[in-house]
Formats: sequence, C-alpha cells, structure tokens
Amino acid sequence: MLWTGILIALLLSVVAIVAVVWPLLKKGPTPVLVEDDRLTELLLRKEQVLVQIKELEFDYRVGKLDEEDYQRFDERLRRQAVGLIQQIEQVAPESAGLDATLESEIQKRRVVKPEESTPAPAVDAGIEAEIASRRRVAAAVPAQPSAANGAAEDVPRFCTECGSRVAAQHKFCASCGAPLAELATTPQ
Amino acid sequence: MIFDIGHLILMTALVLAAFGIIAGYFGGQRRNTRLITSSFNAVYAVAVLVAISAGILWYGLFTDAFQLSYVWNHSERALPTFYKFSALWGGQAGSLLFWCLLLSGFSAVVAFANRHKHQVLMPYVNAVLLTTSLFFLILLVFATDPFKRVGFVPPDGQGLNPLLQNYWMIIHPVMLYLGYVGMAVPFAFAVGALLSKRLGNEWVRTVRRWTLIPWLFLSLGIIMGSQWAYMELGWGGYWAWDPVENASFLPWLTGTAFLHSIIIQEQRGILKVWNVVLIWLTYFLVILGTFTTRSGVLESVHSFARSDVGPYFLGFLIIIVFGFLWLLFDRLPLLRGEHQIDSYSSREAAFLANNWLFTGIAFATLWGTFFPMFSEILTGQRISVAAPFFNKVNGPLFLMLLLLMGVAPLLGWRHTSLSAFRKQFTIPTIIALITAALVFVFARSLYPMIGLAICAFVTATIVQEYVRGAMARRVTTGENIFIAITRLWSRNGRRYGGYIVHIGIVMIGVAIIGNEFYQQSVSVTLARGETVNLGHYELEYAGIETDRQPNLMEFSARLLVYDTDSGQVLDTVHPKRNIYDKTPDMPTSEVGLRMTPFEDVYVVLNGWDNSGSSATFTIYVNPLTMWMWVGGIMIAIGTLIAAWPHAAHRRTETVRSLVYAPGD
Repeated sequence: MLWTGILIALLLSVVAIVAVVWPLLKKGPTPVLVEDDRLTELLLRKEQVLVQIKELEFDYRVGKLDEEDYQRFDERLRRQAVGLIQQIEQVAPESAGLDATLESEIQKRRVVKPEESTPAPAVDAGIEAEIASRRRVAAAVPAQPSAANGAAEDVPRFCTECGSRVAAQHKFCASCGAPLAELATTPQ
Repeated sequence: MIFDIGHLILMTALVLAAFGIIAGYFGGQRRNTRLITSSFNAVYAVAVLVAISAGILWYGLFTDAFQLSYVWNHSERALPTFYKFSALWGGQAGSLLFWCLLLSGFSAVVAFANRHKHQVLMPYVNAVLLTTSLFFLILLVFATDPFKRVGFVPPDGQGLNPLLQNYWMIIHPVMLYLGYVGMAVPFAFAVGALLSKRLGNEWVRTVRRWTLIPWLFLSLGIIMGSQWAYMELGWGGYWAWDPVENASFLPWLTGTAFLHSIIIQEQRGILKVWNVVLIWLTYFLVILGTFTTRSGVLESVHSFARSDVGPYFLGFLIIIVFGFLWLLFDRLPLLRGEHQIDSYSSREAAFLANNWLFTGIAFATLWGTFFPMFSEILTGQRISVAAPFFNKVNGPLFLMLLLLMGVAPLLGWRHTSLSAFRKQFTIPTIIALITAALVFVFARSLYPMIGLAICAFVTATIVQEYVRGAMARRVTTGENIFIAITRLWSRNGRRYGGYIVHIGIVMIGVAIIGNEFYQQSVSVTLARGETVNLGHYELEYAGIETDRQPNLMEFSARLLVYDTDSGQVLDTVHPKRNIYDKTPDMPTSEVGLRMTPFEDVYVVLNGWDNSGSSATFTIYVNPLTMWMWVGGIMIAIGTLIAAWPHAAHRRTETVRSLVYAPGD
C-alpha cells in the first residue's frame, strides 16, 4: 500500500517536472524576447499624459481649477504630449499606423454596445486631433533633413517632462533640466 | 497511503518553486523566452500540486482520518461537515497549507492573466511570487507537516476550537487570507519593476487593480472579523485592538496609503521611492502578521522559542528587509521623481498628508502591538498597552484622515486657486457647521460634535462631487441624471467608485462615534417575569430553553423587548450559550440582538440557575452600529466599481498587446 502511494506521488511529480522543464528541451536556437524598452516607455508616457489631459479637463469642468490654471496646465500637458509623439515617431515610424490598427482591433474585440461607443471616443478624439495637428508640423522634420539645421526654429520642439518649448540644439531642457532626446534627422 | 502522496508532492512543489525562481530571474535577465515559459509553467505546476495536497488534507478531514495529527487535533466525528471543511484553516499546519494554496492559486491567476503582457516584468513577478510560495512550502515540508501521523488511530478527534465554530469563522479567515496573500502580487510587481529596471508607470498602472482586489478582501475580512467579535464574543464591542486584530489592520493601513499614493505617481510622476517602500511595508506587515499570530511571540517572548515556525519566519523577514533595501538602494538613481510638488494647495499635497497620517497610524499601532514584547525583552516585565492607548493616539489621527478624505478630492492637481477653493468648500463647510450646532444642542460633548461634523462635511463633499460631475456630463451630452451617474461610474470608476468607498468609511466612522460616546449598558440578574429598563427599552426575562445539537448543548434565553413610551412589544431576543461536549470549560456565547438603523439592543447571557428560573445578563444599547455593516457593503460596492475594467482601460491593454506583438 505504501508503495502504491509513493508511486502515485512519483508519477504526479514527474508529470509536473516535465511540464516545467518541457520548454527548455525544445531544439533550435532560443528565441529571445525583443521588446523595444524605449518605445514601450514612450507609449506608456504618452498614454499617461493623455489621461492627465482628460482628468484636467474634467476637473476644470467641475470647478476645481480656475480658467487661468487650466489653460496653463493644459498647454503644458499638450506640449508634453506633442514632444512624446515626436519621439515615438522617430523610434518607430510605423507607429503612426498603429492607431488605425488599434481602432480596428478594438472594434473586433468589443462587444457591440452602440449607445456606449459615442461619448468615449469623443473626448479622446478631441485630444488626439488637436495633437495630430501639431504633430503634422513636427512630422515635417524627418522629411526635410536639410531644413533641420537651417530652419530649426520653425519646428516646434517640446520637453517631454514639463512641456516647455526647447531649442533644437539643446540637450537639456532649459526650464526643468530634464535630458532631451535628440531629434535625429534620420529615422532609425 | 494517500497522505504520503500529500507530503511527497509538497516536496516536489518545493523543488519546482525553487527552479521556477531561477528560471524566472535568468529568463528575465537574458530575455530567454524558453526560461520565461518555464517559469510560467512552474507557477502553474506549484498551484496544481499544492491544490492536490490541500485536497488530500480535506479528504482526511471529511473521512475522519484521526491517524493524522492535524485531523485528530482539529476535528471530531460529530463535527458538522461545514466545520470539517473550515477545519483546514483551524490549526497551524492546515492554515499554512491554506495560505500556500491561496497564494499559489493567486499567482497562477496573475501569471495566466498577464501571460501576453508585460513580458519584461512578468518573469520577475513569477520569481517573486514563487519565492513567497517557496517559503511556505519550506515551512510545510520541514517545520509543520500537515500530514504528520499520530502513530496509532485514535477513536475520535479532540474537536475544533469552539470559537471557530461559527459561520463568520468560515468566511472571515478566507477573506483575510485572500487579502493577505493578494498583497504579495503588487509587491511582486514592485520588485519585478526594480529588478527589470522598468520603473516607469507600467507596474504602477498594472498593480492598481491587483491591489484593489486584495484590499477589498482585507477590508471585508476585517469587517467580518468585527461582526464575528460583536456577535460571538459578547463584550458589547467589535474591536479591541488586540494583536491578532492589529495584525490584519496594519497591512490594511499601509495598503490603503499605497492605493492613494500610486495615484499621485500616475498623475504627477512623483513619490516613486515612497510607493515601492509602501508596498514593501505592506508585504512585510502581512508576513509579520502571519508570523505573530502563529508564533505566540506577542503573548510571551518565551513561547517564540517553543514555536516550531518562529525561526523560519524570522529568517524570512530578515531576507525581506535586507534583500529589498539592498535592491532599493541599488536602483535609487532610477527612481528620481519627474517633478516637484507645485503648490501646497493641491491634491497631491493633500494625498501626501493622507499618506503621512496612514503611516503614522500604522506606526503607532505597530508600536502598541509590540510594546509588550519590547518591554519584556528590556525589563523582563511585560507591560501591555490596551485599547485606551490606541484610541487616544489613533482617534485624533483618524479624525484628521476623515477630514482630508473630504478635502483632498475637491482640490485640483498641481494648484488650486482661492476662487476655486471657495467654490468647492462653501456648501460642505456650511453643512458641517449646521451639523455641529445640532449635535451641540442635543448632546453636548466635544469629540462627537467634531467627529459628526466632519462626517457631514465629507458626505456633503461627495454629494457635491456627484452633482457637479453629473451636471458637467449633462452639459456636454444632455444625458438625464441617472444615466449621467452611471456614466460617471463607467467612465471614471476610479474616482466615483472611490467616493462610494469613502461614504462607506464615513458610515463606519458614524457607527464608531455612536458606540464610543453613546453606548449604554447594565448587568442584571432577572427572575422569570422580571423586567429591567435601559434607554427607552424595557426587557422582560421569559425563560430559557435547551436544544441538543450534534456536538454541543445550546441554552437559549428569551427576552421580550418593550418600548417604555408606548408599552408595545417591539421584539423578542434570544441570547445563547453553547456548551461543547469536547470542551465544556470553553462555552461560547451568541448575543441576542435587535438591530435597527438607529440603535441595537444587544443582550449577552452570562449565566443561569439550574431550573432557569433566574438568569444573569449584560444588556447594551449600541447606537448606530448597523451603519458599520452597511458601510462595509458600500466599501465592497465602491471597490468593485473602481476596479471594474472599462472601455478606456481595455483600450490601453490592447495598445500594449499590439506593441508587444512583434516580440512574441
């Protein structure tokens, strides 16, 4: 009887051990996780700034901020968002198409609730559109590499930390001291 | 034979947990997907093996396998099946196995839910969760084997501790354990973030829901524990600041602080170090609580040496402290805040004050809990601090916290101007002043006046928040008020669900104030037909009945409750005493209760003469107690609203899964 018990325990253990070790026994070169840390960080930061913009707007609408503060912070955040989007486009130019892919993906996954779909994107879309309009200006940079040196002042560039406007050649933000990613003229 | 399987597969689980830690760590370091997959499988395998093992112990309890020391000590043939089930966590070895079962189950759920997300973070998260599991498996295999044999087969067991034979005792520990165990998850994410150097917002955003859920369990566990104490212990109260209660309350305090301070990190990019420290403290307090309630170290330092798990816990606690601090100092440069606090009249400043208060209360409670131990070590004499110490120190801190709960949400992030300030605070302040005046007229005492005024203030701020939020939605969307409110929940559940939780806390505050300052009580011996007056009630003793249950004798007194003004019978209450066959010297009490929103009539049966012609009672009138339980329900509802996944969140999740897709 004792031996049956030990046998069953052994069997269970072997099954469990095999399940754990199995992935290591596969042949061929080990696939390595390729994740662009910088891109992930930038996308998360962008998401976060968009959330902050929405929160700020809502706070303003319920009277927690006065007009002046709202304008000031909103402007700062939007510039920050533009700065981040500029960088994202540089790190991953294909991410411009990501929004389209995303929308279709969401449509596929979403349980259709017609009455719910209206207000939600409205807010997002407002911010995205506004930022996109600024982005278009910025997007001109990689397209005209020669202009980047001469006419750098025409292209608005913003600190991703505090949203202050920064000069093209600066390596650190003059307002908050944050290190600035270089706006490379050639996308990677 | 089957019980050998239980023990042996725990050993296999131990080995696999150790392997999974290594696979997770190196898989994360080298980004080796095979090692990472292996770490995931280790999490699942440990969960399955521990579940089988727990199943085997349950089988032992249900089949009265008294050859097992655990079953012999914590069960008996006549024990109702219900309690045989809960006997799994009625003793030390079983409860550690149960801990391990819930932890490994929780880990498996976390691993499965995130198998395609956070691919850099997850291997480390697996490793940290498995480290906690490993510790408990070491305890189970080497220190307290739940499958230990007696050496012979006793005819019957010794029975379960009578205090645990109560339906609240089935659900309350489960809730607490789920809360305890669940706090390992946010800690694992924090350590994962430190190890992977991914210290941005990724872990903070993910961890919010994984903290809210255990926080809810912990809150409900604490409230159910109070309910149990109120209904079963029969001393008229619900909270005594005893070490076991404090053990569950401490991680709740730091966990609540953490839930608030991660919002600041998310919104403002500050307090990064503070947040990892808070969740580490929470985890540390969870393990410390599990330790103190099992080692007996708080009853007497000497029982620590006799405890078979004490040294293991101490070792693990030391590892948690030094391991974490080393990691934290190593990563400190990466935890630089992105901003400074702009202004002290801002929400982040108010949240920061909230954090100080929570931590202050936690330290005072910790100090009071461990004071007897320190005094015994230093002076050889045991000096206990009791409820008055805790009330005196924590009472004012809680009041300030309550006040902040009203103030903070009304402030804007970054800066609130004077005009906005005035706009937000005028109405709630007026309501608070009116309440204070009313309390002053009816019951002249200072503390309840301040307390109730603050409660009214907070309630007013929350109502105002809802009204303004709904109005803001109406202006843009033209929705009617009900739709606008449900949309507030679905679009901004974090904030508006949080307000519901706050309402729950206010209700609990009101109940505490009512009980602390307006409780009335009397102890009397009544002959049959005799009456006693308390408050505006008159109670008449109408006799005692006995009822034979499977493993106990139930004595149930009957009292009629009259309204003194009208003379009408309002209710009949039945305070009871249960005398257990196996432990007749440990009778348990069940109070007789008439509960109304305004006050409870609460009767404890202390004793009776043999014929039942007279009996002794302690009778309490507890004002507003019901609101404590209603508050608990509100906390549950609010937390669920806050944690519910909604459209915007799903969107970001989708973004992430798309971003990661190329790496798969």
